[in-house]
Amino acid sequence: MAERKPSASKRRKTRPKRIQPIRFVAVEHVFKAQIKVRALRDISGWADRAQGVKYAIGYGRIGYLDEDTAREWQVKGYVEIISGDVKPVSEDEAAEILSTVTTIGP
Amino acid sequence: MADGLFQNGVKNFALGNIAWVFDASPTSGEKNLMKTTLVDTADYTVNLATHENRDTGTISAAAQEEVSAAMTLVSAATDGVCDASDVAFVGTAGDPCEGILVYFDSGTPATDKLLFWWDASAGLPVTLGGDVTVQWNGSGLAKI
Repeated sequence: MAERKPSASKRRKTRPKRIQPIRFVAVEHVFKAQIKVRALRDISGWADRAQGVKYAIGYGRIGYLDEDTAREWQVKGYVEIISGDVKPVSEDEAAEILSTVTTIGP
Repeated sequence: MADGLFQNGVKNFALGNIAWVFDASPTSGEKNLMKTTLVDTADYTVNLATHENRDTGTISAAAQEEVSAAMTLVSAATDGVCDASDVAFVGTAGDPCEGILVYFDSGTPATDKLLFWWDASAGLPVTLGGDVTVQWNGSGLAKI
Protein backbone atom coordinates (compact mmCIF):
# COMPACT_ATOMS: atom_id res chain seq x y z
CA MET A 1 0.00 0.00 0.00
CA ALA A 2 1.33 3.42 -0.92
CA GLU A 3 2.54 5.55 1.97
CA ARG A 4 0.25 8.48 2.67
CA LYS A 5 1.67 11.95 2.32
CA PRO A 6 1.64 14.00 5.52
CA SER A 7 -1.23 16.41 5.81
CA ALA A 8 -0.70 20.07 4.98
CA SER A 9 -0.78 21.01 8.65
CA LYS A 10 1.98 18.50 9.45
CA ARG A 11 4.09 19.80 6.57
CA ARG A 12 3.71 23.31 7.92
CA LYS A 13 5.06 22.20 11.29
CA THR A 14 8.30 20.99 9.70
CA ARG A 15 8.88 24.18 7.71
CA PRO A 16 12.08 25.92 8.85
CA LYS A 17 11.54 28.71 11.34
CA ARG A 18 11.99 32.12 9.72
CA ILE A 19 14.88 34.25 10.88
CA GLN A 20 13.24 36.87 13.01
CA PRO A 21 14.82 40.30 13.01
CA ILE A 22 16.25 41.32 16.36
CA ARG A 23 15.51 44.81 17.57
CA PHE A 24 18.36 46.53 19.34
CA VAL A 25 17.80 49.19 21.99
CA ALA A 26 20.19 51.40 23.91
CA VAL A 27 21.41 50.18 27.30
CA GLU A 28 19.52 53.01 28.96
CA HIS A 29 16.29 51.28 27.96
CA VAL A 30 17.22 48.36 30.19
CA PHE A 31 19.42 49.61 32.99
CA LYS A 32 18.78 52.41 35.44
CA ALA A 33 20.99 55.31 34.37
CA GLN A 34 23.24 55.79 37.39
CA ILE A 35 26.81 55.46 36.14
CA LYS A 36 28.28 57.01 33.01
CA VAL A 37 30.51 54.58 31.12
CA ARG A 38 32.43 54.22 27.86
CA ALA A 39 32.28 50.86 26.11
CA LEU A 40 35.60 49.14 25.48
CA ARG A 41 34.12 46.62 23.02
CA ASP A 42 30.87 45.97 21.22
CA ILE A 43 28.45 44.69 23.86
CA SER A 44 25.01 43.18 23.49
CA GLY A 45 22.66 41.14 25.65
CA TRP A 46 19.06 40.08 25.78
CA ALA A 47 16.54 42.60 27.01
CA ASP A 48 13.59 40.36 26.13
CA ARG A 49 14.47 37.15 24.34
CA ALA A 50 10.86 36.14 23.73
CA GLN A 51 10.25 39.41 21.91
CA GLY A 52 13.60 39.38 20.13
CA VAL A 53 14.87 42.53 21.80
CA LYS A 54 18.53 43.04 22.70
CA TYR A 55 20.35 45.95 24.27
CA ALA A 56 23.62 47.06 22.74
CA ILE A 57 26.38 49.58 23.05
CA GLY A 58 29.24 49.88 20.59
CA TYR A 59 32.94 50.33 21.21
CA GLY A 60 33.82 53.87 22.26
CA ARG A 61 30.23 54.89 22.86
CA ILE A 62 29.10 56.59 26.04
CA GLY A 63 26.18 55.08 27.94
CA TYR A 64 24.58 54.84 31.34
CA LEU A 65 24.24 51.72 33.48
CA ASP A 66 22.97 50.91 36.94
CA GLU A 67 25.66 50.65 39.60
CA ASP A 68 25.76 46.85 39.82
CA THR A 69 26.01 46.37 36.06
CA ALA A 70 28.63 49.10 35.70
CA ARG A 71 30.71 47.49 38.44
CA GLU A 72 30.40 44.04 36.91
CA TRP A 73 31.16 45.21 33.37
CA GLN A 74 34.15 47.21 34.61
CA VAL A 75 35.63 44.07 36.17
CA LYS A 76 35.00 42.16 32.94
CA GLY A 77 36.78 44.86 30.96
CA TYR A 78 33.69 45.75 28.96
CA VAL A 79 33.51 49.41 30.06
CA GLU A 80 35.45 52.13 31.78
CA ILE A 81 33.65 54.34 34.24
CA ILE A 82 33.51 57.99 33.26
CA SER A 83 31.57 59.32 36.22
CA GLY A 84 29.70 57.97 39.19
CA ASP A 85 30.78 55.92 42.16
CA VAL A 86 30.72 52.16 42.38
CA LYS A 87 31.61 50.01 45.35
CA PRO A 88 35.11 48.51 45.25
CA VAL A 89 35.38 44.88 44.19
CA SER A 90 37.27 42.35 46.29
CA GLU A 91 39.64 39.88 44.64
CA ASP A 92 37.29 37.00 45.39
CA GLU A 93 34.33 38.84 43.93
CA ALA A 94 36.30 39.81 40.84
CA ALA A 95 37.34 36.18 40.35
CA GLU A 96 33.72 35.11 40.68
CA ILE A 97 32.59 37.70 38.14
CA LEU A 98 35.32 36.76 35.68
CA SER A 99 34.48 33.08 36.00
CA THR A 100 31.27 33.75 34.08
CA VAL A 101 33.13 35.00 31.00
CA THR A 102 34.35 32.71 28.24
CA THR A 103 36.67 34.11 25.61
CA ILE A 104 36.77 32.61 22.16
CA GLY A 105 38.30 33.85 18.99
CA PRO A 106 40.25 33.36 15.84
CA MET B 1 37.38 22.34 10.17
CA ALA B 2 36.93 25.11 7.65
CA ASP B 3 37.98 28.56 8.82
CA GLY B 4 37.88 31.01 5.96
CA LEU B 5 36.08 33.39 3.69
CA PHE B 6 32.86 32.59 1.89
CA GLN B 7 33.74 32.75 -1.80
CA ASN B 8 30.52 34.60 -2.50
CA GLY B 9 31.42 37.05 0.26
CA VAL B 10 34.65 37.87 -1.57
CA LYS B 11 32.62 38.25 -4.75
CA ASN B 12 30.32 40.72 -3.01
CA PHE B 13 33.32 42.70 -1.79
CA ALA B 14 34.62 42.80 -5.36
CA LEU B 15 31.26 43.89 -6.73
CA GLY B 16 31.10 46.73 -4.24
CA ASN B 17 28.06 45.34 -2.46
CA ILE B 18 29.93 45.38 0.86
CA ALA B 19 32.36 47.91 2.30
CA TRP B 20 34.49 47.31 5.37
CA VAL B 21 34.55 50.94 6.44
CA PHE B 22 34.32 52.46 9.90
CA ASP B 23 31.06 54.20 10.63
CA ALA B 24 30.08 55.11 14.17
CA SER B 25 26.43 54.31 13.51
CA PRO B 26 25.85 52.23 10.40
CA THR B 27 22.19 51.94 9.56
CA SER B 28 20.14 49.49 7.59
CA GLY B 29 20.76 49.81 3.88
CA GLU B 30 24.36 50.94 4.21
CA LYS B 31 27.12 48.69 2.91
CA ASN B 32 29.11 48.53 6.13
CA LEU B 33 26.61 47.06 8.60
CA MET B 34 28.34 43.86 9.74
CA LYS B 35 27.24 41.55 12.52
CA THR B 36 28.61 38.45 14.16
CA THR B 37 26.73 35.33 15.17
CA LEU B 38 27.50 32.32 17.33
CA VAL B 39 26.41 29.27 15.37
CA ASP B 40 25.29 25.81 16.45
CA THR B 41 26.67 23.52 13.75
CA ALA B 42 24.18 20.84 14.72
CA ASP B 43 21.77 23.04 12.74
CA TYR B 44 24.11 24.34 10.05
CA THR B 45 26.76 22.75 7.84
CA VAL B 46 29.01 25.41 6.44
CA ASN B 47 29.93 25.46 2.76
CA LEU B 48 32.41 28.22 2.03
CA ALA B 49 32.32 27.49 -1.70
CA THR B 50 28.60 27.87 -2.32
CA HIS B 51 26.76 29.60 0.53
CA GLU B 52 25.99 33.25 -0.02
CA ASN B 53 22.98 34.56 1.87
CA ARG B 54 21.65 34.22 5.41
CA ASP B 55 18.29 32.91 4.26
CA THR B 56 16.71 30.00 6.10
CA GLY B 57 17.37 27.69 3.16
CA THR B 58 21.07 28.15 3.86
CA ILE B 59 21.34 28.66 7.59
CA SER B 60 18.38 28.02 9.85
CA ALA B 61 17.20 30.38 12.54
CA ALA B 62 17.82 27.64 15.10
CA ALA B 63 21.52 27.60 14.21
CA GLN B 64 22.02 31.25 15.12
CA GLU B 65 22.07 31.28 18.89
CA GLU B 66 23.47 34.75 19.50
CA VAL B 67 23.62 37.77 17.19
CA SER B 68 25.50 40.99 17.81
CA ALA B 69 24.47 44.52 16.99
CA ALA B 70 26.38 46.36 14.27
CA MET B 71 30.10 45.73 14.73
CA THR B 72 32.47 48.63 15.19
CA LEU B 73 34.74 48.21 12.19
CA VAL B 74 38.28 49.33 11.58
CA SER B 75 38.42 50.47 7.98
CA ALA B 76 40.22 48.08 5.65
CA ALA B 77 42.45 50.83 4.36
CA THR B 78 45.71 49.12 5.28
CA ASP B 79 46.56 46.18 3.03
CA GLY B 80 42.91 45.13 2.78
CA VAL B 81 42.80 43.95 6.39
CA CYS B 82 39.32 43.77 7.89
CA ASP B 83 39.43 44.41 11.63
CA ALA B 84 36.86 45.23 14.28
CA SER B 85 36.36 45.70 17.99
CA ASP B 86 35.95 42.62 20.12
CA VAL B 87 32.36 41.54 20.69
CA ALA B 88 30.84 40.65 24.08
CA PHE B 89 27.62 38.66 24.30
CA VAL B 90 26.22 39.15 27.80
CA GLY B 91 24.06 36.50 29.48
CA THR B 92 23.98 34.05 26.61
CA ALA B 93 21.50 31.21 26.34
CA GLY B 94 20.99 28.36 23.93
CA ASP B 95 22.68 25.29 22.52
CA PRO B 96 26.48 24.93 22.42
CA CYS B 97 28.06 26.78 19.51
CA GLU B 98 30.87 25.52 17.34
CA GLY B 99 31.11 28.33 14.81
CA ILE B 100 31.54 32.09 14.53
CA LEU B 101 29.98 33.78 11.53
CA VAL B 102 30.39 37.36 10.34
CA TYR B 103 27.89 38.63 7.83
CA PHE B 104 26.70 41.80 6.16
CA ASP B 105 23.25 42.80 7.38
CA SER B 106 21.26 44.11 4.44
CA GLY B 107 18.10 44.47 6.51
CA THR B 108 16.59 41.29 5.07
CA PRO B 109 17.98 37.85 5.97
CA ALA B 110 17.41 36.56 2.44
CA THR B 111 19.89 39.09 1.09
CA ASP B 112 22.31 39.28 4.03
CA LYS B 113 25.75 38.30 2.78
CA LEU B 114 27.90 35.68 4.53
CA LEU B 115 31.51 36.81 4.82
CA PHE B 116 33.77 35.03 7.32
CA TRP B 117 33.60 31.77 9.22
CA TRP B 118 35.60 30.15 12.00
CA ASP B 119 35.07 26.77 13.61
CA ALA B 120 38.63 25.94 14.63
CA SER B 121 39.20 28.90 16.93
CA ALA B 122 40.38 28.86 20.51
CA GLY B 123 37.49 28.31 22.90
CA LEU B 124 35.24 26.48 20.44
CA PRO B 125 32.91 24.79 20.97
CA VAL B 126 31.51 27.12 23.56
CA THR B 127 28.77 26.34 26.05
CA LEU B 128 26.31 29.19 26.39
CA GLY B 129 25.06 30.35 29.75
CA GLY B 130 27.40 33.11 30.86
CA ASP B 131 29.06 35.84 28.84
CA VAL B 132 30.97 35.03 25.67
CA THR B 133 33.58 37.41 24.31
CA VAL B 134 34.77 37.04 20.75
CA GLN B 135 38.31 38.32 20.68
CA TRP B 136 39.48 38.89 17.12
CA ASN B 137 42.99 38.05 16.07
CA GLY B 138 45.49 40.89 16.58
CA SER B 139 46.08 40.84 12.83
CA GLY B 140 42.40 41.41 12.08
CA LEU B 141 39.53 39.17 11.07
CA ALA B 142 40.66 38.62 7.52
CA LYS B 143 42.58 40.02 4.62
CA ILE B 144 40.80 40.51 1.32
